[in-house]
Amino acid sequence: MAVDSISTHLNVDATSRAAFEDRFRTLLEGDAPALARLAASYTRSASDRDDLLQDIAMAVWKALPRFRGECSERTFLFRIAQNRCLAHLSKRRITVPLDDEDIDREDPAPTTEHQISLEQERHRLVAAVRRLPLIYRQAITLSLEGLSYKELAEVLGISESNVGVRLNRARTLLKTFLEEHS
Amino acid sequence: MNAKVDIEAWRQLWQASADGPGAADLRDRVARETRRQNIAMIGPVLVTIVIGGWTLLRANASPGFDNVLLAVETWLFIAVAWLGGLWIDRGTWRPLSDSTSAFIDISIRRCEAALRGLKFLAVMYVVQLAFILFWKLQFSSIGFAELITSWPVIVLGWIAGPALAGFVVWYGRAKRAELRYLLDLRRSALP
Repeated sequence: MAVDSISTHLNVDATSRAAFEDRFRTLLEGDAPALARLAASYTRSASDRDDLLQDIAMAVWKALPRFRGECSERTFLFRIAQNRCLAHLSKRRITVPLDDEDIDREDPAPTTEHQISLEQERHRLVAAVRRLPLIYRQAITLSLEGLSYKELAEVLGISESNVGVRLNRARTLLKTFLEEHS
Repeated sequence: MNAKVDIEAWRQLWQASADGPGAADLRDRVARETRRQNIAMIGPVLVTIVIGGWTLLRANASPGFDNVLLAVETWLFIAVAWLGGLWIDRGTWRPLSDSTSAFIDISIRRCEAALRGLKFLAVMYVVQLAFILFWKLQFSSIGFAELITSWPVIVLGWIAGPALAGFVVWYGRAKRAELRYLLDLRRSALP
């Protein structure tokens, strides 16, 4: 009887652990590219970005058991990611905007002219996003990932009207930076 | 209208990139980091057990006033260090999934707590070093000159003291800079 009870208990533990790991995997698999793009807009090199990504994944791993569905999983994930990016910046005190030259380009060489031009445009966009002041960078990166005003407000802890103000300002600045580059 | 076109074009361009480690790689990194953190957590507990246990064994083997005093002071020091650490960190724990505004607030409190912790660390070091010097002078036959040139005092005082002072200055500067950055950020992020 006692053995049965222990074995049932262990099975429940193993099952819940497997379910937790499954949940973690699903959450990361769905948004790993988005998290990588987000981390890249706060770091100077690919290795820095990967370290920040590990930090984000670690924070998600720790926070997931306490997540009770107060918001969508995507909001939960991006909140953690934004917070880790912010902590990364404040610890390294990166206040100077990053220049285009600082970007560590690791993409494989594109094959066609169209791909080359697309890749250059993408690098210009990333460089311009990196030049934005933090509060606008946060808003625009989340918006570029397709988050709604409501989700943005939940992630950043501000009102939806404030999200609108920040996004408008971010768009104007981004456009200016992109025009400077072209 | 133009703004909508801009953002949509940027969004497509932005999302076209999928660099970086995949989910499987991240899971492996998390597993490695979890193991490393678990090992790191054992450190302070192990030091507590080894040093505290050594003084208890010593007092038990030869229960004179000197050894009992050393054991009592060591355990008092350990208790004050642990409780002081908890007291300094009070109110700095919040869920990792807080909104950005809440996260900035808690990060500011953590920086302030870290700066308080540095002062606490410096005071604890001076008190403990003073006690060890007093205890040695009081209960051993060696003189002051001999004591301050003995190897435990060289390691714990002459080497560890400046090293700790250097760490306090360096870490304090880093934390103050981080605090300034976060305070600026809170001001600029105010709705």
